[in-house]
Amino acid sequence: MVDGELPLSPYRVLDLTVENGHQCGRVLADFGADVIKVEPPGGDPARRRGPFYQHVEDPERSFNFWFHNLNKRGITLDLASPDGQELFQRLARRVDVLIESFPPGYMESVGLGPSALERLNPGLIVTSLTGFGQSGPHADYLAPDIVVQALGGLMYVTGDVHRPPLRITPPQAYAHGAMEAAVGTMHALFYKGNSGEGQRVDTSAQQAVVWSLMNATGMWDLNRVNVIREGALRGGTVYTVKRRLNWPCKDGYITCTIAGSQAAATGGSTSNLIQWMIDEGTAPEFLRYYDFAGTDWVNMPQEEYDFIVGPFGDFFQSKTKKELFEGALERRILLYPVATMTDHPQNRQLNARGFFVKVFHPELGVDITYPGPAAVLGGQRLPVRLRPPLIGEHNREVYCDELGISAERLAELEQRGVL
Amino acid sequence: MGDALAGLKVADFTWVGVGPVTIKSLADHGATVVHVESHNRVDVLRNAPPFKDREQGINHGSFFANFNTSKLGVSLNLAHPKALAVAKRLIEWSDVVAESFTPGTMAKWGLDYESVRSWQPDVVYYSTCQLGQTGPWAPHPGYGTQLAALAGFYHLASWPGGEPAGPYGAYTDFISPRFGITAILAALDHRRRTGKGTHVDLSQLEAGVQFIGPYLMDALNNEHEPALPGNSDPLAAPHGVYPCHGPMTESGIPEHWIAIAVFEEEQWRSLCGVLGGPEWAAEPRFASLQGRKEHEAELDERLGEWTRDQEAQRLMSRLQKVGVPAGVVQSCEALHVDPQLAHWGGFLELEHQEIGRHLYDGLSFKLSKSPGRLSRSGPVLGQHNDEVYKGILGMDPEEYEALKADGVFE
Repeated sequence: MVDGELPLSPYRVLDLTVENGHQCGRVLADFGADVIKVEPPGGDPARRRGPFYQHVEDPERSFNFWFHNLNKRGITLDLASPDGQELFQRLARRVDVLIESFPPGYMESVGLGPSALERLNPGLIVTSLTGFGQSGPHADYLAPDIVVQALGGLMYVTGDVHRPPLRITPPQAYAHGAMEAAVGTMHALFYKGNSGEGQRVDTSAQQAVVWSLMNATGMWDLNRVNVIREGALRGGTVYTVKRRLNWPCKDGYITCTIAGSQAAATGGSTSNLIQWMIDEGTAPEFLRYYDFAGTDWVNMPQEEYDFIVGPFGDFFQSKTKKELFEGALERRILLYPVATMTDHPQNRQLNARGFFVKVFHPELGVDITYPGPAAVLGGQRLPVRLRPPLIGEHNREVYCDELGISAERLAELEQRGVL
Repeated sequence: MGDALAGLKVADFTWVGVGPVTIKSLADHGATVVHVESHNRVDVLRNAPPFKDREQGINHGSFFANFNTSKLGVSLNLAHPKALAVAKRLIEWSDVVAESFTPGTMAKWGLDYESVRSWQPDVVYYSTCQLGQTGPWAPHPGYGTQLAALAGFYHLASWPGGEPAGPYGAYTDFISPRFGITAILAALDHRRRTGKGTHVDLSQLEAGVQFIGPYLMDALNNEHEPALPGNSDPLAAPHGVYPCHGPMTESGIPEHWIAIAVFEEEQWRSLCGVLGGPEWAAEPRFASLQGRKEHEAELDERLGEWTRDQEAQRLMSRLQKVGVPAGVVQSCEALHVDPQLAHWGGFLELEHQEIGRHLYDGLSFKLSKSPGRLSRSGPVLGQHNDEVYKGILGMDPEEYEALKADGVFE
């Protein structure tokens, strides 16, 4: 909030996205835009995807739909019907941004291609998100999340070295693509603010996933090193030494970088860890004098590395995640628990910052807890204004109150399955 | 045609991952960005691989360069007493100030939001750190490599019963910038209309978990720990990766894999057609999604036996042609010859002052009127000192030389 106002509050967005793009509209809505989610009659297929509240499979209980559609209004519309298209055109004249994630060519097939939309509303920003962009040899490839995580290079570097490549289960390619679409939309909005002109934003989820590979792409380009997944270890494809990142402890795992390529950056942390072990009498003599910062961690034999870090592993195994993290906070050690999902509700930092927000769902008669919007603006967390819409919840508000359609006509369109 | 952010001015005090990548997006779309560094406290990415010819050097690696394209780079030793006045002049020139230190660092120099807004009330000031500017854990230092653990990615990217594995790299560093850019541009839009600035406090933990929201809600509301399903999906079968013809990796498993995902019955029929209609696939237990889910282990094994002799790229194109979602599991080597990425502009070559010509990651979206571009390679440390201090800040040459001799630009 900036002086009680949300920064995107003047803008209206029509959100036509299917499952892969919902997060784009969510973030624009968090910053205050009036985002109208357009679902096909009967509801968005993403409502069929769990997990579900109380494990009851129901389109009005999907956490997947809820999380990605918080702060939006919702209407239904059959884009394939002529009446639906006519209504959509009237809506499109009244908004600043349209976001869609259909396969390339679909919008043209229903008479809503870029040139048609520009005639309707010359200042409109049209953001498109697909797996691979609007053109090119794979533009028409079907692009469920696992396919884009694979083609984007993320699966090859995720998982265990002796097992198949692994997909990160919550759809990451969808999220990376949707957020890049949001960023592209914001750049277009800035341009429009200065020029008054709309434009088209073409987003590739594949390229967005490639961005998540950090320096692995450069490792190939400059050194012809092909980084591969390494389980709980890291560095084996880059250096001669495989360094441990995730360590077993008494009740789970923690992450700690003992030393390595970032020795200078992590040196203080390792000294602090050694001091902790000294204080508890568990540090072997050699650790007290070991020159971590001055050691060549890149070309060291594996046996030497394993010998040096052995006592740290023993130390971790003697304590719980909580004990280790509390010590790390107190002593400034680069160590975090490997959190499971059920660890999050107890996260003191997230709770202290008011990150978890209770939102009342009147039709269920309960408060549902949401992870809040990510940003704190002017000292205040972006608010939750609307719980996610029920199927067609705002049909009357949008079609009758805002477009001026009569109640009879609305009923007729609903009857005929247009809405 | 023009750049989306032409005319926008940014004083960029960020370092490492999230901050630089956030501001890179503004630079790639036409903002004038001055990225401030110091020889006294070199960005850790400058000492991380890969290096040209594998020779380590702060100006010899592409890690830093890739994260800081299109920026002007200056050196300024903020620990020097005379440097603060220079930093203030830079801030006065700017519309946006960005920093990514552990909380309290900018305040120590009197350059935090509260200080800056006292003389520049309309500043848009972006602070990002691991855990946010407030709260009991706020001062804890760290990198995305560790934060990905706290956010839950190492746990979620594990095989059932296996050690936490996770994606390579500082994974949350590639989530947080998208929220940061959105926040900065939203704040600038608000400022354009109202003249008011603001402070953005972006916690990289809070941004990171936006990518696992539904799972987090399961824990928050059902007190339930979601199962680790490997590569399977409740709404599809087969859904996974399958070995293909080719060499073995060092650990003795196939190098080449293909992802195949069948959500609809028509996709299953098309897949069976490509398989050549084997008897096993015609068995009634595989005829529905429910049946395939119940016999998924066997289904995966049968399918994998067949894919094992197939060439991955060719199989992908055969399957996609008949409407079956499929994608090769690409390594970075494969990405560099991917025809779609080549068409899109996935890797762009720029001339770097010390590395020479090398590849940078391309942009993930294209704007039709203001397309954005990598206008400069990542700077070597202090590359644009002259241009920025004498040009943009208008220092006279004597003042510049005196400050330089004094070590202010170290």
